[in-house]
Amino acid sequence: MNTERTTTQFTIEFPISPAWFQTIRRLMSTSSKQCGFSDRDAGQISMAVDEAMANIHKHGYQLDKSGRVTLQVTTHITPATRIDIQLDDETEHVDLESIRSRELEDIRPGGLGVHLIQTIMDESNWSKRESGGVRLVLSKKRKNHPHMKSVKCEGTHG
Amino acid sequence: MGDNILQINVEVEENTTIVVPSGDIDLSKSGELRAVLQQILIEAPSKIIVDLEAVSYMDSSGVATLIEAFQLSKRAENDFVLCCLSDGVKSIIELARLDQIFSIHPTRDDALES
Repeated sequence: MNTERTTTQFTIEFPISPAWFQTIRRLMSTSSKQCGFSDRDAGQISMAVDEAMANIHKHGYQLDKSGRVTLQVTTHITPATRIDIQLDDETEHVDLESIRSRELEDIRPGGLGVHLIQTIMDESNWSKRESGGVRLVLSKKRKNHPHMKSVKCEGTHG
Repeated sequence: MGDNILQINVEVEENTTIVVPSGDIDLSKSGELRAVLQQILIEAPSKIIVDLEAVSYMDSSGVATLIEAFQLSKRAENDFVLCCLSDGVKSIIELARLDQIFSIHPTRDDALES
């Protein structure tokens, strides 16, 4: 019987303080590499999560370091290498319509985070949680062949 | 929690100031780089070089800090140059499509001669 584990999941809840960001980046990098992503891809997946955390800290909790997030990571080795990431926060006043990438031709400091998240990940989907707060779902497959990207913002979901 | 420590050394060669950060530049540390660059911009050397060899990771707040210093240098008609980009820094500079905007050199000698 083949007992090899092909799917791994973990959940961590932590205060969304920048002091935690390096630890979470290392965790994301290790998880990504363990399920088969290259060093480069693993670094970029870490970057996408880092940018998502920064946006929650700055715009969601407005720099309040006591705000909490729950990070759930599911990695798949078969049938294809894939990582699914879910970040839940408890912010109340975020307008999903305001979450968008800016024009890169406009060279100015700031506003790059959403562009980086959407460029790195295959899927990035912000939605309102029924219990309150915002859920960000990110997903990326290891590239073996060209694939479509989907990016969408939805209304109320649990 | 992490043990993220950013060290920033500043070297002066004639009219050029070389900034050498070491560590990750993320939301918790980009303010430290910004403060150093702001002080150097007040002194207005004819060229600022930021040597990024020892920066393994930079987030968008770090990139924003570089864009701000680049634009202020340009306004003062001084040069703002990056060199020795690590893979992690190269990655975000390319994703942000800033590799055609910044003056980037592979070595510090190249940056000094530019």
